[in-house]
Amino acid sequence: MEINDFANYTEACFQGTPAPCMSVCPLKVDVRAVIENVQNGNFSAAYRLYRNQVVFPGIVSRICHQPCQLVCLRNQSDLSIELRKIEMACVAYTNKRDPISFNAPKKNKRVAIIGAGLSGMACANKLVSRNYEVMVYEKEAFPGGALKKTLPQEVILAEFELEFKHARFNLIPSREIVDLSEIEADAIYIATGKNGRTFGLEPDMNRDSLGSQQQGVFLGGELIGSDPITAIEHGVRVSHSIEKYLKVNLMDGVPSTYLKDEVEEKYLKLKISDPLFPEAIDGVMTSEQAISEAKRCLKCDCNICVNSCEMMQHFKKKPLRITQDVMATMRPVEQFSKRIASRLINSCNQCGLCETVCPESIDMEEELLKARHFLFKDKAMPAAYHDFWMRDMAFANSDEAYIFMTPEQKIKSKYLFFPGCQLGASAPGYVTAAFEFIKKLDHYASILVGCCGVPADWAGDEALRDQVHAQIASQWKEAGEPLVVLACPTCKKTFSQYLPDIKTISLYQVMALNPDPRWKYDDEKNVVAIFDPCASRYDQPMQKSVRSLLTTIGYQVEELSDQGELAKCCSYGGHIQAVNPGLKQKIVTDRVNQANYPYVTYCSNCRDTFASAGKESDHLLNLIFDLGIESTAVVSLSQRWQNRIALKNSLTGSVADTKTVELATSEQAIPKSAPRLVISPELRKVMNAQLIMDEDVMAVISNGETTGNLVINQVNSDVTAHLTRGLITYWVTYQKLSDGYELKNVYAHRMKIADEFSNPAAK
Amino acid sequence: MDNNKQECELICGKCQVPLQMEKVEFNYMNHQFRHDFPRCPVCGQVYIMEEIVNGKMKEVETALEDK
Ligand code: SF4
Ligand code: SF4
Ligand code: SF4
Ligand SMILES: [Zn+2]
Repeated sequence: MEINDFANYTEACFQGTPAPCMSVCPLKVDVRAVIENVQNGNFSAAYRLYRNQVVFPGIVSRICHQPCQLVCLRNQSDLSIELRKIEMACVAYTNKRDPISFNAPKKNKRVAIIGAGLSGMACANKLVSRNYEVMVYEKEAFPGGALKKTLPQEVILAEFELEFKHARFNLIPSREIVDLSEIEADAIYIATGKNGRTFGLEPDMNRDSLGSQQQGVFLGGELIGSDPITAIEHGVRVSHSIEKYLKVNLMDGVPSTYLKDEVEEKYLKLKISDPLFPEAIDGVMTSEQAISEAKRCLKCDCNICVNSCEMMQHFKKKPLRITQDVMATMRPVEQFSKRIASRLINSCNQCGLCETVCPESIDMEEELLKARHFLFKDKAMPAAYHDFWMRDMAFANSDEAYIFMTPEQKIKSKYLFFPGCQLGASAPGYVTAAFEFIKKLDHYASILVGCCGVPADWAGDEALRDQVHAQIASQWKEAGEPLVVLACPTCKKTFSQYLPDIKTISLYQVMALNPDPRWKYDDEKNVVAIFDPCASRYDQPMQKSVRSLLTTIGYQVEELSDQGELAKCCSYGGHIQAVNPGLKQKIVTDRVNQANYPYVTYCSNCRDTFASAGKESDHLLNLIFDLGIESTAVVSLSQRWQNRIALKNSLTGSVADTKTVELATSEQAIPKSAPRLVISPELRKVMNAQLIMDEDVMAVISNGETTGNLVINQVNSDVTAHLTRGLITYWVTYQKLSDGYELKNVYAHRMKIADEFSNPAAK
Repeated sequence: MDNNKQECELICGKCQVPLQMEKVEFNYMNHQFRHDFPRCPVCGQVYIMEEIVNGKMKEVETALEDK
């Protein structure tokens, strides 16, 4: 994949394109921006934006035929926004309407305009503000043209006077031009109004630049069939075409001014909020009325994914901008630009919600995963981002924890149970109980306990990921290609993506199809909320089975708002903890506050994340198999490794003779001879959050105690030792006990101390 | 820095001498820098307190990772 290909990911995103109303507005009023100001009661700021587009706000706000109303998305649920009335209010409630005076350098060119209607006057206004000499010839005694039929003359004259306050030009009234040779000018704009004189130049004119076949002569406005509002736009457009002509002698105008009025159809896919009918108002709205009408406006734009994704909110970036930054990150210009999006790329939970909610199915999950692969290959992935998880995966796939067992007799397994690496780490009982259940269905079931490789994928290491998958595939073949039963939704997503040849089914689906009367029934009919793990969104049968299992065992099920297809990540996905601890914390808090009911989930990472945050949450298997795991019990990182060892011991110790597997308790796992570590719950939290394991702490202490490299605080006799293990330097402050150590503090950093134990005095 | 106040209370466990403020060299993400920290004048052992690690040092790490 080339860097430029990344642009394809968000190519179809229409965020930031003109809203439908703006698309059809002849003068391209930026409705979203105007409305934003009015909503905040900022009429003067709204007025400035409006004035810059329409030239004569006091006139346009009275006469606009409102093409915007025909396309306003609000119309689908109630009534279109009354933009013209809001704009009138902007005019009415702006105290100082004086135009800004420009100091453009004087140009030694003269432009003649024939006709002082809206189009001619708009063109004059623009040219005068750029300091051209302008002559306007009007056959009537007063300017205004066809406007006279709709507006009182005082209004027209007052508006022109105001808008030309700082701009001198020559209006020559009562002068009808019959032949262009009467005029001496460098360029001419013919804006003689409906049925006006064309001097024979309309045929073959350029409808974009509005230039005629005659050099320097342009035509526009109602003369060529436009409505009064478009006539103003013609005047503005011609001012640009004339300027170009005067500078470079070309008649083809300025392409960016050839405005299209097509509505972007993608807007029609946006959901419109509930009906909210406006007040019927005659005449000028009060400022309150204008504000409340403005508040009905949806400021139509696509923000759907941003509204669903805390990561985008955290970085205040939308997909188009993210793609730009991702591409810049992949080719940093030496010394100048940085790997600006490296942290963003590694802060994505890989949950896939963005693609699900996006009307264009834009897949930021894949884009950001591919970006991780790219950074890894480029050796630009900060190693500390994924280091902990890579060590965790290596341990899960090491001899100490990895288990592959097929029946001793050469009998083909019907099922291969693949619980994943985290389920047994959370509690060995989940795996042993589930395997026991599976063995009742298939006495010769095989089991493979290891990592599915997703941590390597998330860390950007494709080769390692592929290596893990190759191992899984070969052992699956060895077991006779059985149906693989998966307990972890993320394993399931990973298998379907990378190991498509392997047929899989979720454990929960197997269980729902084979209910067992010995399952623990909840007589109290407790209410629980189901938390669907984000990786389950692609697997409706799994989600359905979980609901049916919970009902079967007597629970009353509440649904969260973000469920099913819209499931959100618990914060664990993508391994963002070491990359963006603040964002991770925010996500966890958002999730646990969704409902007061205890959560039931079917991913051990979701369950452990919530329990660590103090939320009552259970893995479904704990309820069904009555494993007795407390809903808020927190598993420390070291316990997770011990649990894996314990799981291996209990499975390998008992499966050979297919006796009931005994539940491994955590005590069994910790060697009795090890010194005792006293860790307060607060410090435990800090360690979990910073991914510091008991093993790290023990290694620091025993290194300090054996080498004597300790710092002693003479006041309180606290001892501090430190040690670098891999990428991380750990610090431990402690007090020695008779049978172990009481921890006072633990902290860690990524920076390396370069010159320790070199005697500084000797330098 | 607070490290100053503390240095006289701190002694090197091996050399049994008080720590003194000395230059310490660090590196991270291909960048080098130095800063004064309490250090054993005999064996060179360094002491860095938590406030610095989770404060200034984290900031610098973050800045370098985003570079
Ligand atoms: S709701 Fe507002 S932004 Fe959307 S189309 Fe209507 S006027 Fe335009
Ligand atoms: S949902 Fe997001 S990515 Fe999709 S079109 Fe909207 S803003 Fe763009
Ligand atoms: S995959 Fe999830 S976390 Fe990543 S960008 Fe999409 S919604 Fe956000
Ligand atoms: Zn020393």
